[in-house]
Amino acid sequence: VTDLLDRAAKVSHRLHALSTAASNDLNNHFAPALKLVMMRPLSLCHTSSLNTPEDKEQVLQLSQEDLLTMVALLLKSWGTPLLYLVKEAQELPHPANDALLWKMAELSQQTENLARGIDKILNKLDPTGFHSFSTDLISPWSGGPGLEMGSDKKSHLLNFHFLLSCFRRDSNKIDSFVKLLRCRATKMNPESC
Amino acid sequence: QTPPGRPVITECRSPEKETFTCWWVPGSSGGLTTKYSLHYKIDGSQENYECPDYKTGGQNSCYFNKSYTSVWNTYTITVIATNNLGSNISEPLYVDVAYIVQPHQPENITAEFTTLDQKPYLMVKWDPPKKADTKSGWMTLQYELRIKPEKGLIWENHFAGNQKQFNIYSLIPGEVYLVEVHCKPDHGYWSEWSHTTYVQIPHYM
Ligand code: NA
Ligand code: NA
Ligand code: NA
Repeated sequence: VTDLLDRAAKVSHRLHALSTAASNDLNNHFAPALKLVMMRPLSLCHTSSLNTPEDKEQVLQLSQEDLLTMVALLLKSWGTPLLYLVKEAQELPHPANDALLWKMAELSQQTENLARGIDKILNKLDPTGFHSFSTDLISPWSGGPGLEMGSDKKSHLLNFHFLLSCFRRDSNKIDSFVKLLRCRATKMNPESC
Repeated sequence: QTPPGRPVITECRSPEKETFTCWWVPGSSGGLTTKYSLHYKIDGSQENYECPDYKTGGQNSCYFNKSYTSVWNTYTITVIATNNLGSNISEPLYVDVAYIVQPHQPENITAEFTTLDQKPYLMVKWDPPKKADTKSGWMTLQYELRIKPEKGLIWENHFAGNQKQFNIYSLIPGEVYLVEVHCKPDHGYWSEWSHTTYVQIPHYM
């Protein structure tokens, strides 16, 4: 499990670094519209319903299984929206859309990889499958620009930005949780965290 | 005498992902006594709050202790300057605590000259900054050290990854070396360099 968590941490690290880089690509050419985007609070992200912890005390109270399940739920909630972002990146009216496209493609692929890895860890920890969570818990995503947005190019761009900001934040949570789990798993060797 | 100029929020930083501080620079005072107040909203809530602590972070700052800090929410922060003739509000700053982490410097840096299998080397060790909770895994830090001979001009940098120890092999006998270490979270800003540790390399050749 330590080995699997070590690999998971490398992928979760990559996810956050890559989504940060993609956000920067987008923002570098996005100054005028940025303020407008900021009006849309990330509390409207589709994963907000998962009620993930908000500070250290809350995170440290969670068991290994709870943390892993939370990571699994976050990752699964992003399957469809990331595929949508890959598709959107191909038609995005944005000077960095080539860079954004490959980043979205890698994000989508690595998110799936990590989801598989986390499932594997959960199964190793509890082969009876007691942990197996209901797919109802996976946050549904309504798809495309929100109702309050139009279907014009700018709306697509704003929606892309909003979704990417949501993913960036979630990938930071995922990476934090996975690294915490990795640290817990290597308690015998405190030098590793 | 005029209304106050526009204050500018310069930055917000969190040393350990548990608390954070924001700083601003005042605009012109307009020649009058001007008061500054910091206000914030948290993601999804319309509620507007005033800074909970103007003292801890020093002048022109606001400190958010643990109970006022949540890591994965966006804080919308503004500063209002007010004097008898009017008031002026800064541009808002949007802050996610997870994205503004800059740890304090590593501590207890030691550099010890030693030999193993007749190979002389310098063993540099350090501790993470006290405030950063690395033990629970809440923070993951990476370290870099730099070394130069006392009279040298150029630092030689070595990336140590997550390790809290690093060995340096290519040393000039008889020199006094300066060693410093800094750290960064996995996603965040480098700390300042630690204060300098001096080490005398003997004439071992
Ligand atoms: Na202050
Ligand atoms: Na808190
Ligand atoms: Na970190």
